[in-house]
Amino acid sequence: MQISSILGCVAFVGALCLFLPTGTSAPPAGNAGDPLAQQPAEPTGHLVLVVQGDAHALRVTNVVAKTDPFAGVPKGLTSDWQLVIADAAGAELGRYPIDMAHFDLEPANVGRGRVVTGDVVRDSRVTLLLSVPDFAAAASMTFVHGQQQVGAVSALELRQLRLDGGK
Amino acid sequence: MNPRAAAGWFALLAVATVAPAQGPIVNTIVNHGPTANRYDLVLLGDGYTAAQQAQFNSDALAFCGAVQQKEPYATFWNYINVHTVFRASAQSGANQPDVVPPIVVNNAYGATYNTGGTARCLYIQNTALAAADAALAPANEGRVMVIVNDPRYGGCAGEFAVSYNGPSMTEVEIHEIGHSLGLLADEYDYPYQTWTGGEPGEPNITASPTGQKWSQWLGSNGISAFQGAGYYLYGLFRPKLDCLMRDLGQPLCAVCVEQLTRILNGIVNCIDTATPATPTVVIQIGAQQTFSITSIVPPQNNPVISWKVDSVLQAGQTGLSFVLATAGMGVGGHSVAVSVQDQSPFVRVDPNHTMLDTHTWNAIVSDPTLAELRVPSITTSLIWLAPGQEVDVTTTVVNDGPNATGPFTVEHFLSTDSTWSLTDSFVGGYTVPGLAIGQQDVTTRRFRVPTLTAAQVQFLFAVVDRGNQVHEVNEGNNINHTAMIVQNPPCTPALEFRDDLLYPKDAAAVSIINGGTCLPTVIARCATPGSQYLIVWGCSGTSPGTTIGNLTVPLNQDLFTMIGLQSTNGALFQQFWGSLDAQGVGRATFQWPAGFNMQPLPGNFAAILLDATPQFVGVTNPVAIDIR
Repeated sequence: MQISSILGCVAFVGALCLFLPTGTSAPPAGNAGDPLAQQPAEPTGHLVLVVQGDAHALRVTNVVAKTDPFAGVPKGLTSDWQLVIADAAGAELGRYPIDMAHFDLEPANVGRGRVVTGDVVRDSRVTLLLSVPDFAAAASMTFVHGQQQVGAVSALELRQLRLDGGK
Repeated sequence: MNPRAAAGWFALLAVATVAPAQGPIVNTIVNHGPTANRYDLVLLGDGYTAAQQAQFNSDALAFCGAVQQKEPYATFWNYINVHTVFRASAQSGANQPDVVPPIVVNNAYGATYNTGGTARCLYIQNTALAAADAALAPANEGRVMVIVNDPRYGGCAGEFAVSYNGPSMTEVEIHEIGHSLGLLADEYDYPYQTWTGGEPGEPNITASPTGQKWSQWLGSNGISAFQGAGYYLYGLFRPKLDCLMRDLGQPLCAVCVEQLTRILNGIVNCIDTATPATPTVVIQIGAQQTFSITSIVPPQNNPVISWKVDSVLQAGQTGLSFVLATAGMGVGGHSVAVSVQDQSPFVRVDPNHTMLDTHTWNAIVSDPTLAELRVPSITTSLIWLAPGQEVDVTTTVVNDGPNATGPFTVEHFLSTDSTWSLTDSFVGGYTVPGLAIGQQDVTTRRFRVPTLTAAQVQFLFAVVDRGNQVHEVNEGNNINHTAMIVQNPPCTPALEFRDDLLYPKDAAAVSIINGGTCLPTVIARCATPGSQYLIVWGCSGTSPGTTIGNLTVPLNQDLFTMIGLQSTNGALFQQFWGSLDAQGVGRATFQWPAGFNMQPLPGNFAAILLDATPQFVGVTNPVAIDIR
């Protein structure tokens, strides 16, 4: 391991420690998992994200904040493609599947554009809307495909996108 | 050049000067309830100029009028909101690159015929702008319909559903949202001949001539397996002779209706409101509490309502409200859950339970005569520390209840995760003699981080009244934790006990009469691979110790040292001689049998390290072992 990566790990763990809340945890008799994961800060509404990209990379190009609560993930929706929202300490606030059913996600087809069969369009270029909870503590958003990261939005970018949202 | 084409080219040249000045206009045209619990469909218009906004509004209303006549939307119409976002186009209509000469239109989203080389495939090019505009609607479920102001027949669907606004507009629209919302396949059988692929993923076409995919419908509603579907004349089968996914003017077949019904119900919770609105309700013991819901299940679907308390079905309770009588219930948390099962005849198979919704309250039955302990804070004097180091921990415990407490314990544990359990490493504690009403106890104590503690983030827990000596309003809030960073340990070899609930870790005891077990553990993180350890016993003190070469073992050699060496790795001294593992840890067990009759025998263990040679290369600290 390189010294720089060791220092990076140390800095990360230090930040984790400094920012970890000391909230009251689950009852002594229970063993219901990580209380940090169970008790994220309550979202204040929801965000509608415009997500663009392809099978290699996804990015958020627009964010519109809504005051109405997040409607939740549709029952039965599962996906290898997910958006992970984390706080400043890197703690996961939520993980949301992305419905990519309408897109051509074969990596070899990136750049191929649209293919039409009958009246159904399959596009290797992704453009979709994604609703997620609006966590006040959200500091980053990361797109993952399986275990692989395929995009990220930093706290600064997120703030700027929110400011630009709807313009 | 026809007049329309001429106008198009002219407009393209003049694009910079005719761009619409007005931003998108957002309207809600169907409002059946809060967006958080409705399917929010967004309609966009393309190829409508600012002067044609009324036409867009009219087309949008026509869509709403038509879709609410078509199942399953008709039955579940009250599950749907419809919003419009109107962005004026500079010019009317859609691009037609396949006519001669081509028609080029400066429209908002680039609606174009002949997309992908299919003449009737009318789709938008600027999906990014369309998505950004759709995001302006009060809410959306990700599915957007684009109505294009052009009389040429066409439509297409992918992430967006797109339709022209000519005579068949509403039929095309409902067909296209069948694709984009329902992930339904086309059921028409051209232009290809014979399907040779595997089983398609869409729910309404199959390669199986038996129609097993929709077996729940076979023999009813005209459902069978009809050859010709999914663009193939042979080898693919559809559920019904005709369906809107095959021909305009037809109703959707039962298989398609079932799919769309599940999707709508996967998003909309048929329990629209719940009272009390808060998830946790505190009820004084003996009192009654009414729980109620409103349901939006269409009455003809005969919803089945059931109520459960602590997972026990409440017989005869099938209404929209339920009264919980707390007399006789235990103090503490209870669950009250209501379930609503929509028995829609549209759905016969529902693997994701989309037609069943449940709402659960946490009902805390409280006794106002009880105390209430809480742990508002736990802090440490150090955040970065090493195994073996001492650290001060300050714990605040408060009694918020209306009654005083008797004595109770405060215990500290180190855990590698943020969930406490009894197997976490106990690092001591103390007893608080009692707290008056509103009183708090702030105690600082010092503990030594066990040498065995791994170098990582460690969570230090304060666990109050683990034995429930104090009866409380809420027994579920007696734990708090903080985090510390444990760094790599020093290289000094150490010996300590790894027994649960033992602190300090350098003193253990077993009973002469009843026997007992303790777990001496050697930690030598810097030892070379293959190193061995030997734990020795003595009952004559630790000073001045016994010299071996240039090392001093902190034990005075005596008869018991000899007994221990003769019995090493026997029943009493299990694994007292062994190899260190990859982490430099050696785990032994001292097993004292029951039934002895002897005088108390206080003693010590210490460990000697040997390298691969084997030479004596180190000794550890002594730990106390008290046979009493």
